[in-house]
Amino acid sequence: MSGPRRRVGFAALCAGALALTACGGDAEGTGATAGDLPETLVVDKAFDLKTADPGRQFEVAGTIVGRALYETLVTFEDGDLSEVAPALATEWTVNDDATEYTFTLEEGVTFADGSPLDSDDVVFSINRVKNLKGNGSFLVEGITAEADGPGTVVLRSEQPNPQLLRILPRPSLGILNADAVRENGGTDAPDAAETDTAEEFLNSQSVGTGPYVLDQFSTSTETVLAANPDYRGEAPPFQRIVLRNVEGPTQAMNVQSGQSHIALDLASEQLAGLRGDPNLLIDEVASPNIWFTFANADPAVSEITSSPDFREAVRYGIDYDGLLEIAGDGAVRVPGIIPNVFFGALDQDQAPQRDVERAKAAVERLGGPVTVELEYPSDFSANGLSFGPVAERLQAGLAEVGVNLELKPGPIATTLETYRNGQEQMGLWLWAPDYPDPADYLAFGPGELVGKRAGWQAGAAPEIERVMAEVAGESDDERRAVLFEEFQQLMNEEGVMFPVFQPTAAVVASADIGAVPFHPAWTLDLTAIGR
Amino acid sequence: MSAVTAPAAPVPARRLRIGPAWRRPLALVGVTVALGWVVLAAFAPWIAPADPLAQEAARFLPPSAEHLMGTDGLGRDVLSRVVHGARISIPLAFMLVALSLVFGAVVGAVSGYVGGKLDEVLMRVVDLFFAFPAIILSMAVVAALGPNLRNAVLAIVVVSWPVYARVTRSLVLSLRNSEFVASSRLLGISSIRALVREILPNVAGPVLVLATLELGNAVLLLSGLSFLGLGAVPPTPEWGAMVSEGARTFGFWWVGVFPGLAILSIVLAFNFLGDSLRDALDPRTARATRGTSA
Repeated sequence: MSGPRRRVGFAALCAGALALTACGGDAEGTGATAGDLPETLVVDKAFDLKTADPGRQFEVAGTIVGRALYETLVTFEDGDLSEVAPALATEWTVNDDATEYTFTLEEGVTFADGSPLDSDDVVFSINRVKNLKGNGSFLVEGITAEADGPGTVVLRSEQPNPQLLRILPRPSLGILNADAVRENGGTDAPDAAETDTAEEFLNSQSVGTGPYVLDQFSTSTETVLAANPDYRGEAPPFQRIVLRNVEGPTQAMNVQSGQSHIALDLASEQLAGLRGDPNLLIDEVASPNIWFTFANADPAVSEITSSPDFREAVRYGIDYDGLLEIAGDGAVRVPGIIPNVFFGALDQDQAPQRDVERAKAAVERLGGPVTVELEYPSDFSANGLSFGPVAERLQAGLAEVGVNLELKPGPIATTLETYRNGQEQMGLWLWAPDYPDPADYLAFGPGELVGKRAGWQAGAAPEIERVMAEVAGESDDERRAVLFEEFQQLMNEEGVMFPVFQPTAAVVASADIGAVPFHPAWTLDLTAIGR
Repeated sequence: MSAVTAPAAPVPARRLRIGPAWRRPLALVGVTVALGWVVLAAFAPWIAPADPLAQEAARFLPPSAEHLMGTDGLGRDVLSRVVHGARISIPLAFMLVALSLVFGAVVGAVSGYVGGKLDEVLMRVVDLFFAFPAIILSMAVVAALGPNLRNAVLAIVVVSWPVYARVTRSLVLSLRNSEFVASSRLLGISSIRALVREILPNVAGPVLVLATLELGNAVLLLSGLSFLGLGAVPPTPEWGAMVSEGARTFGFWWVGVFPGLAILSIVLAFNFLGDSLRDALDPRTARATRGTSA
């Protein structure tokens, strides 16, 4: 019994340190070699799958599928988000103010149908995503792609865009065979949102350069990928990959009985029942999702929550350790608004610590105990964690300092609306990164997307906004890291956001395919399994 | 079949025959369990070992001497929450039934006594409510009003009054033309007086039986709505909400099983009670059921 336990522990340890390459070696050492791999890989995932069209997908399941079918200009290797690696582009140059990126494409790359890839395909794919005006279009907003000969592509940005290299690996920006898509109703014209009709075609077959091709597509039952025999890299280790739509509790049974190889949506309670099973390898790490609560800064929404004293009471009254307990074994405290997998994240010791006396003093300044509403979605869970228990723990901790929360759970359809309209006095929500660059978290600043949802308008915190403006125009990563840290320190002093934790993200894999690490950007990297 | 020879005609309400308790063991069980819960509800703060809201213990502790029913996902004592849950479900069940009964009986009595067009209209409205499954209709009402305990109670009243209206109407209809009502009217008693003094006492028995049987239903509906997240707002220790948490954390059986047993026991108790009351107060239906079971 101790053998497998140790192995699981080691896998989790490796993953926790994000030393994922080191883990790969261990998995091979403990039995799984390429020769033992099954022909078909079965993956269970609760589907949020909507489409296999890269330009239209922005969901987790779509990202997992897209990553296996299509390649991007640049990529992340082995789950390491700190640096981008070459993919379809072998090299690139960036001008000084990060407004012009020049990519040199790899020569001799062919799509799964045998036709060669050139700069036209790249230009078409990127402009199409932008002009489809779908959920992923903001990734390349203000970006124009142009060909400079068949082997070179230039991306121009209206604003300095130092995060672009970390945006490009997102599978939404996979490169499609332009001719095939055009023949089937696709277009990258500015009116593509109305005129592009290629989605049905792209749901029937894939036109990418990735190691797998689309065999069968369903958003409700199962989606099947087949190996791409002409893939230019190392031959794909599985003949077929079956991605099945299965809910969490059933996933646990399937992976335990050997009916599936990978389970992705297990809650910590379900994981508890799987630990110690010698046939399973469990990778538990902190998810890049952050859970946060906020106090609305708009006096029209609440005179209480908009007071700086209230913010102070909440910031130092939250029982951070107690919340972490709810969030699962691999969960960590998020010290600033940026999760620990990205550069610019604060160190743990810079996180606000609970200080009951200080919080009580702030409540005194408010004139004694106060009662405000806390809204959260009651029918939604992520990483197997639902909002209800977290809200109840938050309530219990804050009650101790005199901040009484009246819980207002509701279906996500209605709570999301009040949240987006900036009408919640306090809210409990999560943020999943759009792309692995800290620039994504500027959305929490005053006058930005999430800031405005908390009633925090532009001009509310000039000091923070000065740093935000500075970092937006900075292209040097070292300097950016410093500025992002300053941004978060200021947010931790006077901001209206209270980042709480990053919950556990777990991947359970059967031992015969080896350890499968959680991927911080794509959840699961199908192309990395079995290698 | 032969033991009880009740006349088919209306029975004067006061001629009750409640036999010795040992002849009705189920009644005894029902009364005991229901009374037990009422006592628990009344003295919950003194009986429960801990504060039902205090998140003091470790999470998911299995049942032990210290926590007889274990602890839940937030480290709260399940036993204390189950005991305090009685303070919510039982009074609300009585309140729900009382509200539905009063409203339904008034509508039914008026409908049956007045008859004609008004009867038609009121009964079609009742049909409208019967057309939907109770839980679906109450979910719709709560969803429209916003999920909390008060709205859940309202929603359940909205879906449960038609039963009382139907039953009251049919009883009033059959009594309206009976001789003793006719003679009292001949003596010059007003319609309303006849309805209140002569008919209602005869209606009361069957309707009360129905109400007792509905008590169990009310508990079920209320916890059902809470189970779906449409009733009690956390952290209220409501049984349905607790079962819901138990369903999410399946590996820790004690989180959901004990509140589930609480619901089961009180619903059974109310049903036993209702059955026995029916035997005593409403011999017509009692005879029918006994006939089929014998």
